[in-house]
Amino acid sequence: MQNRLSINDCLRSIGWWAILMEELEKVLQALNVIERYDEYLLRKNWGRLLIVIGSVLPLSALVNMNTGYLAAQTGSNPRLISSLGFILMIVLSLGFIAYILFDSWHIARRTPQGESSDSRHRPKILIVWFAASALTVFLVSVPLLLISDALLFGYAAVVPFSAGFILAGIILSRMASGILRRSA
Amino acid sequence: VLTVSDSLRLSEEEKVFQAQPRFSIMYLLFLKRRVGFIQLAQLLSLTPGNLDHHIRRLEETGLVQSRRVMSWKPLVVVEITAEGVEAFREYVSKLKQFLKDLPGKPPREQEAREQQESDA
Repeated sequence: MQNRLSINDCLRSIGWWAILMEELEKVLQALNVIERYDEYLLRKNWGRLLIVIGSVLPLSALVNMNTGYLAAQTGSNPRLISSLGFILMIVLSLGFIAYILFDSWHIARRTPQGESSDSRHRPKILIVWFAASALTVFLVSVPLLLISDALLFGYAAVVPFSAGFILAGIILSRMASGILRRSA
Repeated sequence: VLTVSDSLRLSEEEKVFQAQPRFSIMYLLFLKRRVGFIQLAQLLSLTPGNLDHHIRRLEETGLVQSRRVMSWKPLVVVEITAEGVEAFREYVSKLKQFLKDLPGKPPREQEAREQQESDA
């Protein structure tokens, strides 16, 4: 008899479970918001990385291609200009890549394990990376067949490389903003 | 009638973030510390005016603060305050306690005994 629950106990239990469900629903919705924000940060980071690669590497190449002119303008040694261009490339690109990888790892560490709500996230990033690389290789190889002048070839290779990566970076950033607007 | 506030014995501060958008804002800020106003509005599918109302309610109780930052374009960021972090932490511990005291749940000793029996 003692094990039997009274009607009051039953009602109390139902009330508690209803509250629990209410709280659970609230937490689940908040978790969805957090998950989408993490996805947004990850995509934004990858987009920024593409833009930086598309800016820093061509900038360094341009500096190296114009060492003679820059040395004459600044009155310094061409080797010094060339070294500065190289250091600029190494420090900026590797530094930023390291920062992005660390930040992405930090975000991913906090993301709950299991299937993401956007399971197409990684294939989409891979597609954008592949498209950017393929477009860049194609645009770089076409002038190779047509141009014999080394300096002109350099410009023709650098500009599409830069444009390809910056474009891919902007696309990824746009995709990141789309994640925010996606409803639960 | 049992309410969340009664059952969890919520303080006045904690009652403010019981509404769904404010709860999501607090949870997100608790984990990330600061989020842009525009991103927050898009994440929660709220209009800027609507979000501003929720942020003001949280600001009035000292749980969050918003400020302008200069980036490549002017931005408003919302940050959680030390009181906000403490209030949310307190709320989580109350929720944990609520789950522990939930009626109809077998006591821990009984659970352990059942586990031992099934293992045997």
